[in-house]
Amino acid sequence: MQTLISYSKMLYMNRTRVTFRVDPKLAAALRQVPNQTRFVERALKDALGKSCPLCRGTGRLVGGALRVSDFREAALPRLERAAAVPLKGLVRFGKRMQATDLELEGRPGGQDVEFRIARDEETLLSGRLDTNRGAVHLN
Amino acid sequence: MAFVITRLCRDCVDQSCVSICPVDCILEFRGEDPHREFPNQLYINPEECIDCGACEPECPWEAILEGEDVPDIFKDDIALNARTVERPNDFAVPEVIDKIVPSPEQVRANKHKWGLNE
Repeated sequence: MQTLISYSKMLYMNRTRVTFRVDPKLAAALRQVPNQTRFVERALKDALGKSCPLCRGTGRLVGGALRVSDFREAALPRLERAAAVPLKGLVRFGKRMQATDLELEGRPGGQDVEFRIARDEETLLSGRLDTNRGAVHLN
Repeated sequence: MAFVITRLCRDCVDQSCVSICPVDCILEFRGEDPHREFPNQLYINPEECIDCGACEPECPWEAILEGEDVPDIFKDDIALNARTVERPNDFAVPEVIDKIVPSPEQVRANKHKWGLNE
């Protein structure tokens, strides 16, 4: 009996009771689940572990400015009109996606420009910009 | 060095450059100006400018130049453009309105007005 009491105490240590209200249909569905506590616990952990990559679970966007490579520093050729328009589109995309960087790099021997739109270390979109035709080719 | 919109833009304000700029660094002044420090022209934010050069050929008044190519008589315009950095809340990207393209004579006359004789 003493062993049983100790075992019960161990089971409920560091546990906090949580009570919440749900609509009747959900409550009925939950009652069908064999181990409701474990089921709800797993569902909560799963949801909490998948926070929004944009707001990081805060509900607020705190993105800073998008850093775009400087053409002079990157030794890129002057941007022609045909390529300026799609580049503007890439910048706008990056800002909408709360990207942190739009990196540009010249391709050796050509007029094409490689681009990479990233949010911190994560690449969101990459490809090359054909500066002659103004076409965007995605990787 | 970033590109600069010189005084050749004043009261012309074509705005073709605004449409082409990939990073929206070409701005108009919208703040209070009791000391008349900000003439009616567009400004390039030098910290936002990525030196792509797309804007320069777009201006029919030839008002946009690379920083190091700005003639001595227009050197003050470099600092004027830089005011966009110290007063960011007073500048914004303008809404583009189509303007009539100036004739070569008008472009020459505008340059002459500002002391730029070619």
